[in-house]
Amino acid sequence: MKRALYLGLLLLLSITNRAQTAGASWYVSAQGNLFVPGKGSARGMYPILAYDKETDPKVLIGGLGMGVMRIQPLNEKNELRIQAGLFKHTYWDESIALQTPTGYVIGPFYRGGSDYGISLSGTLHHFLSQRVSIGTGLGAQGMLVSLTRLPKYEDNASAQPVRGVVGVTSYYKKIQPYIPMELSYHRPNTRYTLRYEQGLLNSLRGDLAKYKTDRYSLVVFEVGFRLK
Amino acid sequence: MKKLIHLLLLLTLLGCNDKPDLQPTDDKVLILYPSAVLDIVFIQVSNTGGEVHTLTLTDTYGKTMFESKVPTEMPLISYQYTLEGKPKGNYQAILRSSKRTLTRNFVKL
Repeated sequence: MKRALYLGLLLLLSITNRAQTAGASWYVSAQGNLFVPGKGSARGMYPILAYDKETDPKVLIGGLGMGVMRIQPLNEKNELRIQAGLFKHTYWDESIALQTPTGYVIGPFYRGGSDYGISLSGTLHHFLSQRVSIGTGLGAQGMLVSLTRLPKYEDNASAQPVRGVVGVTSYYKKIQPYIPMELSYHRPNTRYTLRYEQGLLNSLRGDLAKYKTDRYSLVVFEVGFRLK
Repeated sequence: MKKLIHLLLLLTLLGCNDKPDLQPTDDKVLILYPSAVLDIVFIQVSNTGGEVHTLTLTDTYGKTMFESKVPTEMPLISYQYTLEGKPKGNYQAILRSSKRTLTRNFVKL
C-alpha cells in the first residue's frame, strides 16, 4: 500500500517534468490549517487563531504554513499543480487529569501539540468555470519534529519551578501520504484554495501502533500569489 | 454578500476549538498516578473478572519499555516503574484482555 502510494507520487512528479514548460507559472502561498481528528484519535481540533480563557497560553495560534506552487496548464480546461511547502500542524494533544502525588485529581490540563515538517503534493485541476476549479491527486507530509506542551511543575522540596515545558513526541510516522481534494477560486494574480487532506495511514508507529489507531485529516485555507 | 461570507468564515474558524475529553479517572480497572511524572509512575490493575490481562508501557518512540502478564489469581496488583533518565514527553499505559483494550497516557516532566 505504502509503496504504491509513493510510486504514484513519483509518477505524478515525472509527468510534470515531461510536461511542456511553456505557460507554466509560479506562485508563493500562505496557509492556515485545521487538524481534524479521525478514527481512534484522542487529539482535538485547535483553532488557527483564538482566545481561550481556560488555557495557558490564552491566545492560541494554530496551524500555519507557506510554500511554492508550479502550475502547468495542460489544455483549456485542465492544469497540473505541483506544490511544496513547510507546515506547522497544531492540535490539542491528549488531555490529562493532573493529580497530586497521592493520586487526587486537581483538574484537567489541556495542552497543544505541534508537528513541523515539509509537504509535497501534485494535483490535477479541472475548471468548472473561468474562475473556479476542482482538483485531486496525491501528496505526502514529511515530519521533522513533533512537540507537545508539558505542565509546569513546582518541586516542593527545593521550591524551584521545573520548567520542562516541552517534550518531543517520536511515535508519529515520519512520512504520511494523503489525498488532497481542492476547490480553487482564480483571479489574475491570486488563487484562493480550500483543501481537504485525507491521511491514508495510521499516524502512529512502533509497538504503539499495534494497540492504538490515530488517523487524521486537515482542512487548509490557502492563498497563492503569482510570481511571474 | 462578501461581508456575510467573511463573517461566516470568521465564525467557522473561531468555532474550531475542540478540546479532547479527559480520560476516565473513575474506571477502577486501570489506575495510574501521577499523570505528570517526575521519576516514578504507579499503576494498579484490578482484576476482579479473572480475565487474562497484559500490561504494556510504551515510551515517547512508541516502543515497549515494560510488559507483564497480570496474574489472574490476584484481584489487585500494583506496579511501579521508574522513568529516571527517560526523555520528557508522552508515554502510554495499555491494558489488554481478549475483551477490551484500555489506554492511559501520562507525561514525563
